[in-house]
Amino acid sequence: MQVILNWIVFFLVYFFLQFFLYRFFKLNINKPSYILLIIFISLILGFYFHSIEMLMNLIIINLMIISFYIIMLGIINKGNSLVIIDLISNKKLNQKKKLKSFFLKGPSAKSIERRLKINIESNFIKLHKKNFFINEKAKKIIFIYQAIKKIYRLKSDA
Amino acid sequence: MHSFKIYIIFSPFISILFSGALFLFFQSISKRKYFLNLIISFILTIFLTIFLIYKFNFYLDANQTFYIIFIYLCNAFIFMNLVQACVSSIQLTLLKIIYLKPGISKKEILKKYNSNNLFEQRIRRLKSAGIIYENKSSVYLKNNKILLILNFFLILKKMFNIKD
Repeated sequence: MQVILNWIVFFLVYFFLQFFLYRFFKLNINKPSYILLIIFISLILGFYFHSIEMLMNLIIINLMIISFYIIMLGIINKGNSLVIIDLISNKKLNQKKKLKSFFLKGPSAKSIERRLKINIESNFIKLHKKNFFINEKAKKIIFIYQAIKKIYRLKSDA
Repeated sequence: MHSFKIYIIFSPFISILFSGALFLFFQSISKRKYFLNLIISFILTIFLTIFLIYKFNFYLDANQTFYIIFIYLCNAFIFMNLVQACVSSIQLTLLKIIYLKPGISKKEILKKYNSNNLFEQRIRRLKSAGIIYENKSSVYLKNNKILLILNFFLILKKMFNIKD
């Protein structure tokens, strides 16, 4: 029980640190670069301490940070399905036509442009004379996702 | 004893590989929705993990038990998001469109993939997942469990002061 309590306290401290930095300073520590830095530090500590208990704690911390990063992505960019559910349940918009017009008037209408911008900022694509080109890094990501899709026979949007 | 501890370190990762294999098996034999297959594979693996923890309870301390369960849950969450991203990520869809047609303009992208398509796709997916249903050009919530996820994100959004 003590172990679980210790970890709960650790999660809460990490959550409130994140909350405090984001809410008051708009500083998002959940960035791939920060996560890679934490993983790198953990690897050094893991090698340095040579203890299995330490290694276990480092793996817990790292995976918790990665999971929190995924949750934060969902908070910052609310999924379009959730937007539709929000409109149906909270705004009581049941008529499909009305629902669609509200969806297209809301921030979700800009979600494709926003994701294009994120792709440019993340260096996945580059814009050259108003035309988009893909970077090598993104090609590898597409290759991985295509492999997962093929292996598990998943159907996607594109 | 040392090799047993090393096995403990790797066990949640072996469990997620097992989950992945189960998911693959279900995908190839069953015509159920992929998400249901994924959840079933996770549940079966967590039961197996709990059974093994119970069986080896004598050799495991509280920290190790917590490690095995927590790391498996984190791995499952990451794996679920990876699979989910393959299916519905807008960012990945855009990358794929640009990959298939290098030098494409924004206008052409928006012609292929726009908010209108997005709305229709999401409605279709919500309907096939049994979350909403359509009746005489109106849509209604069928499954209220989704409101838990919605409220979780809405509360966090409010807490973090994130505006749409």
